[in-house]
Amino acid sequence: MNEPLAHIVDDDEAMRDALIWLLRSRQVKTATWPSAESFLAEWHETLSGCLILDIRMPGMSGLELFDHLQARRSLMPVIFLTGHGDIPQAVAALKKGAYDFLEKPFDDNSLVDRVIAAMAADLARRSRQIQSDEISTRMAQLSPREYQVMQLILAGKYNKVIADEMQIAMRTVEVHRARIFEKMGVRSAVDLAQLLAGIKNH
Amino acid sequence: MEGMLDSKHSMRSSLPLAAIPAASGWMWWLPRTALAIFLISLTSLLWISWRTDMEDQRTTLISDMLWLEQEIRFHLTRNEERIQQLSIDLAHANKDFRAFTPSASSLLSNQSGLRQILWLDKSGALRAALPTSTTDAVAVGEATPAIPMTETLRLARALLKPTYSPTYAIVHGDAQFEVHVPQFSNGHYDGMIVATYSIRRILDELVPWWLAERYSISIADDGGVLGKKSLVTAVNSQMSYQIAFDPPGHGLLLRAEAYELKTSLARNLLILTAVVLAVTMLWSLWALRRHMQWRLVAEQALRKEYAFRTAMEDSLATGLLARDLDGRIMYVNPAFCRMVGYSAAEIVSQESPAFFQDQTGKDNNLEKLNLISDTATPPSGYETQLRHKDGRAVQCMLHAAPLIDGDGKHFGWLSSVLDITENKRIEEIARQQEEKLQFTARLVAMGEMASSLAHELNQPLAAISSYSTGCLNRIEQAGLQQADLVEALQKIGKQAHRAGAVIRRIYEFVRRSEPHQVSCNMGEIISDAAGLFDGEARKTNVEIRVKLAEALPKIQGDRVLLEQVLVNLIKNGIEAMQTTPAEKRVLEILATYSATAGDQQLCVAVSDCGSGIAENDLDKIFLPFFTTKSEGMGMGLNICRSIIESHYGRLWHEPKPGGGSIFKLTLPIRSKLST
Repeated sequence: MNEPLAHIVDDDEAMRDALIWLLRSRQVKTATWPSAESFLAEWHETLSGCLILDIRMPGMSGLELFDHLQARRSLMPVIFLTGHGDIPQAVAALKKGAYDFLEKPFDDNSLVDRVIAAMAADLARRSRQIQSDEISTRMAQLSPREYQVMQLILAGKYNKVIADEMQIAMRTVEVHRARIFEKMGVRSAVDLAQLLAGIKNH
Repeated sequence: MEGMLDSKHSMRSSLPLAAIPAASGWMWWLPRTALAIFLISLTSLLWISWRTDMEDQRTTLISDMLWLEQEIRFHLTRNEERIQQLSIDLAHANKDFRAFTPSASSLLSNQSGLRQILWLDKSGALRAALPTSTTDAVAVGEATPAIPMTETLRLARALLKPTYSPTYAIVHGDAQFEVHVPQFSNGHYDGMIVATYSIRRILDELVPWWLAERYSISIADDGGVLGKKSLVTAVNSQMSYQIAFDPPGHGLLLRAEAYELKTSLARNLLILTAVVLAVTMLWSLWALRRHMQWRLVAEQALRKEYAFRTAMEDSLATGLLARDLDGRIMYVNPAFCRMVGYSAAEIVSQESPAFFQDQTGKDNNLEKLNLISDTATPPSGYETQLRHKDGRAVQCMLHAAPLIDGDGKHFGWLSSVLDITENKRIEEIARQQEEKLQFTARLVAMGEMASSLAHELNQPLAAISSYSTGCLNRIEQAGLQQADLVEALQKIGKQAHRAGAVIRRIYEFVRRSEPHQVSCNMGEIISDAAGLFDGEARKTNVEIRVKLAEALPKIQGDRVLLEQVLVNLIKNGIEAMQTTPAEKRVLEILATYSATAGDQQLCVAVSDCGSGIAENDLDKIFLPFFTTKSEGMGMGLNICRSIIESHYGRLWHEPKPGGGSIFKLTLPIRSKLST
């Protein structure tokens, strides 16, 4: 995975330079792109951090780039920088899942705050992603029977009840339970519930 | 001619064509009755005249006959006396035969109607006769008497006075009678002289020719006509008169038959004339009636036509005005009256009515009107201004045409006057709307421009803000290198200048209406404009080539506006090449200078290798609100052209051979500030 960076996409060189200067003053690492097209060309899934996107650019606009990224299932948080007349577009972008937007001229440190927050969120999301990927891998190891039993355990039912419902022997339920715990890497039903709740909430 | 039109006008105003009273009734029966009376009187006159004529003729006839009868009788009596004288003479001559012949001969020869004279002696034997033998004196008929008639001889002897015998026919269709005159000798009967009268001879010799010309005179007895004298053969007359013819007696009648009334030529001519005149009168009356009917029909048609024309004139929205050659107004139609608010009576006959004076009262349009009338009317008409009664101005279009009367004589001018005030007003409104639209377009353009400029302004401001915040952050963290700070502050300063330039541009743009004309170097303007696109060009892989002719002269103009034009054209060019293969993306700006006699100009061509402009759109690209771009307002080229035209130049488009567009602009070079 690449280093998390604040990716700045702006056609105005001075603006890019100023943002680099600003973000560096808060120890945020940056990468800059002079146009939406150049960023899109370089984009790949492993780019992490956040995207600072000027809405109004010649050629491909910020919004168009955002649409392209969504089409590619990019989850990188996007902060839009808008001019005076572009608020409705920015709001529309926000509804589509943009992280935030700031209207020029903006309070620079709040921009940095939002950037840091976005990068943190991206990081968290990525770690959660890793976790849920792991759980998914583990769950994939469960047999259909075990998955069934697991659902009943998560419903908070005792082994006896499970055995009755499934019309299997109590002993068999216990074996399944032990296997499930082993495969999912938990020691108790509570742990299991917490692990799976984490994924669900996300 | 003037009067004619005047009367026409007055006719018009007094409703001339009120219904004419029906032409039947007394107007027709009076002449008819008169005609009947005339004919009756004429006939009566002719009849009475004819009657009078007949009466006259009859009277004449009777008197003529009386005269003739008397004449004949007188003649017979005279002959009697002469025979008595002869007998006396013979007695004196002692009955000498030689004395008889000369005397008898003189008797016979003297138009006496006598045929023969016989001298008988006492016993009745013939002593002498003259002519001696008469072969024709042979009695014919049943009761052929002896000659001389013994009856009469005896009677005369007995009476001893002249006695007439009855008439008896003789040969050759003649008839005769005798007169026996006794001869006395010494108081005793001594013989008889018998004279025979031929009826034919009596008629021939005793009836005068003039009488025979007028009448057919005949002598008749009970047995029929004995002799007739007539100079005209065909006699056919109702008018006749007969009278007893005595003393011959014995039922002789003298009859006259008038010839066909020989009416006088003059009278006949008069009658003929009267009849012809009557016929002529009848014919003329009929012709008159026909003419009247025709006139009535014509009048009806005329009235209809007149009503139609009046309605037409009245309904016309175009004012009509007729003037005589002196410029006096003879006629106006209601539309004209409405147009100027005066009544027809107020206008007509005025030489220079008030409405022909324009608002200031100084200028007399009538004179102008006459002027064009006297020469020739321009086919497009003549625009002028009239004054309404209430004082407002009436814009109108005048057309004049000569008025020619029936004899081809030019007697005035007819002008049609079209009120174009409303058109003018609409034109004015349209012009104002156009101006408003232009203004709106400019506002819209300004809005777009402002929006774009605001974005441009935001960029340096945001950058400045970011630089300064970055600096502050570093200062707080005490991690600020002096060199870094210097660099940041320099950058801040640069961005502040950039912002300032943008604001100046906005200001200049808003003040566009009053271009700030200065002497400027087109080369610099082009370089600056192209410079603005350095980043953009790099980003879009467009190569901008600027080719400036050497020693370009300076031009008078607004630098900012001209730069705006170039920026616009360059931007369009770059955008047009989005789909062009990267290696072909070349934007060329070529500035040249040309000088022809008295005309120096600078030409700038901005050519791209883009997709060009669709043929359909060619004539629209300079119109406001026309755009091929999804986000454009369509004001760019329109504004560019306005700017160039405000510099007295031209901006146009040419297709570039091999694809793409060339926008060319020319600007005139004026040696000195002409403002």
